[in-house]
Amino acid sequence: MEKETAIFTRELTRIFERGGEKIRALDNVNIEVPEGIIYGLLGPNGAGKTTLIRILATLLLPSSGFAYVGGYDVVREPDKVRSVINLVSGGERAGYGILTVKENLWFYSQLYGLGIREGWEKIEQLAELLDMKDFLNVRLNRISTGMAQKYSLARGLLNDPDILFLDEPTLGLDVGAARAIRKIIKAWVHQNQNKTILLTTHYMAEAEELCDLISIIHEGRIIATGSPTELKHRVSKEVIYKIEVKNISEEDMGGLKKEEAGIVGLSTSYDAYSNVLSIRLVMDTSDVSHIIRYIEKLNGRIISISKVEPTLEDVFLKLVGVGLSEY
Amino acid sequence: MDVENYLRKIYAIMWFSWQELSNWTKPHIFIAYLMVRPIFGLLLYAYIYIAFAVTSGLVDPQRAFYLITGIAFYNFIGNGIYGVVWIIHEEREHYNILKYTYISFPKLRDYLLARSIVYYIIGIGLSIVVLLIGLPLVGYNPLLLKPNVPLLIFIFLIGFVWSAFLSIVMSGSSLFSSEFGPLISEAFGGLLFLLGNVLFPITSLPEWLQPAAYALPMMDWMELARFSINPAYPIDPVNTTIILVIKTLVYVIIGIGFFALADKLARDRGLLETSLYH
Ligand SMILES: Nc1ncnc2c1ncn2[C@@H]1O[C@H](COP(=O)(O)OP(=O)(O)OP(=O)(O)O)[C@@H](O)[C@H]1O
Ligand SMILES: [Mg+2]
Repeated sequence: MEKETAIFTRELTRIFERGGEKIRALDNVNIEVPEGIIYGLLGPNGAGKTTLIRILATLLLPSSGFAYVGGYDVVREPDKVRSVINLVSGGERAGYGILTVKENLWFYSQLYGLGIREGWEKIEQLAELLDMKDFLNVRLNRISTGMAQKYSLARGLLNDPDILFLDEPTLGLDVGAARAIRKIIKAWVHQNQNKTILLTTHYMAEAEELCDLISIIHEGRIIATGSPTELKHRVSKEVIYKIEVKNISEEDMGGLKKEEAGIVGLSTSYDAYSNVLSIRLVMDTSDVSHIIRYIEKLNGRIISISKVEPTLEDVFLKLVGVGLSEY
Repeated sequence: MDVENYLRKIYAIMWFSWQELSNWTKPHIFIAYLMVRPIFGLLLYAYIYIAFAVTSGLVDPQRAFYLITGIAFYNFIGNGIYGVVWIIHEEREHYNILKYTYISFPKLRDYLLARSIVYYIIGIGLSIVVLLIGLPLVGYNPLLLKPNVPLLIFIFLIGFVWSAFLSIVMSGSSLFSSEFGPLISEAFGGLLFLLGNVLFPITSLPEWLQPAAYALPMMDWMELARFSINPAYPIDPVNTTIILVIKTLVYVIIGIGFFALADKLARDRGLLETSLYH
């Protein structure tokens, strides 16, 4: 295997059994992550993102197939894999609650074999990078969700991993905190050479903003891979519409005959506050008359129709037929 | 791996264990908390002994020595075992850190052993305190003891080894179910108490139970522990030591093998994290 490939999988498959039923959480996954980039796994709930990360981080064995991380086999050389990786999961507070943030971090710095002084220095340095000086001495069970996520990230950076796995790093954070985390992630990869991040997310915008390469994963399968621009190019022949209507429910729209209307993909979101249903359409024609007639027949009131620029959401819509947020 | 680096890791793990054990309260409350169980246990058995001595008129210093040393030394093993088996459960279910420990320390097994050291050190303290309070209580003068310090150190070291590896087996099982590990640790704790020459010699057990006692290192360990503070205690120390060392080796091998298997199965089933699926 060439040295420049940070992560590499071949026909990676994982089957879970639950109540006699077999679930293919990963189905012949092939990915190749070059060194020095942020690679995104984008997919809805249950797509298999966490399962893939768990296998790559040596927490779970695959059912079949191969995976190499930093050139090491995750099944046969887990110790070597562990020496070059770290893992951060979003939305959790992993640590001993009545120790301070700093003490929890120190413990891990020691497990990673940093010297006692070296450990404290590393923590200072990370506190600077992550802007967490003002809560270093606060007990872990007293800090906010945003702070907890910074703490987790600091723990993930303690051993200077070559490859960092981030599972939904902004899960449950407010806009400001999420932005701060994204900024740190970007800075870390771009300021250090040859550091690689594999991150999972189900936020389109996050994937688009952060990732150099993205794989869209759905029901355990990788259904598309490319840079955000390349992926969006996949809908360059289609026309994207956004229609806002009142007096129509999401179920009503389900009755629409998609093929007749020229619809490749359709997603809806309802805002209860304004009572407006937003419909996003990926069309293989620019003619929306069929759809307008359908809405009017149901006594819906159209507020606006606009052509919009494609996003990754539309790529997903085209590939899967329904929206990412509809899971 | 260089030794200094490894020792530093062990130190940090012991520090963490200590914090987790003691950090939730003030020192004097913590000490009281530690002492309550062993002291009440002691008082109960000492009372039974005294009541028996008074009603029957039989005062037997040998018997008194046997009883108190059994109760005292049991604390070392018991405290160690109970300490180890909860670690997996706590780190996985309460602190959510088991997966991070797993990927940051070379072997989970060695991590657990290091985590247990503090419990054993406390166990030594409890053994000594119970001994020093218990013996006068039953009319045995502690000044009559002649502790053989090197032997005593050996006793604590080898006691740590066999019982920690026995606990490793239980910890391995607790990977599969959070209730199961602590349950079998209770069972084993009880078994060692019953079949370990603690309150009465195993020869007074029903015959069908005796093989189980012989399979455990506790009986030899306890006899040697008594001998280590009282050279007049009638056993064959060389023989007992040899048997104890052999049994310990067997338990170490079982512990290593069993845990390696449990580790692999846990990784196969994805049991290192708290999850909604198990
Ligand atoms: N231990 C398990 N036992 C049984 N099924 C499991 C287990 N872990 C995961 N699964 C199943 O595998 C599939 C993939 O789950 P996974 O957690 O990888 O999805 P995900 O993409 O991370 O989703 P989310 O966005 O919800 O985190 C799901 O159908 C899930 O129910
Ligand atoms: Mg997930």
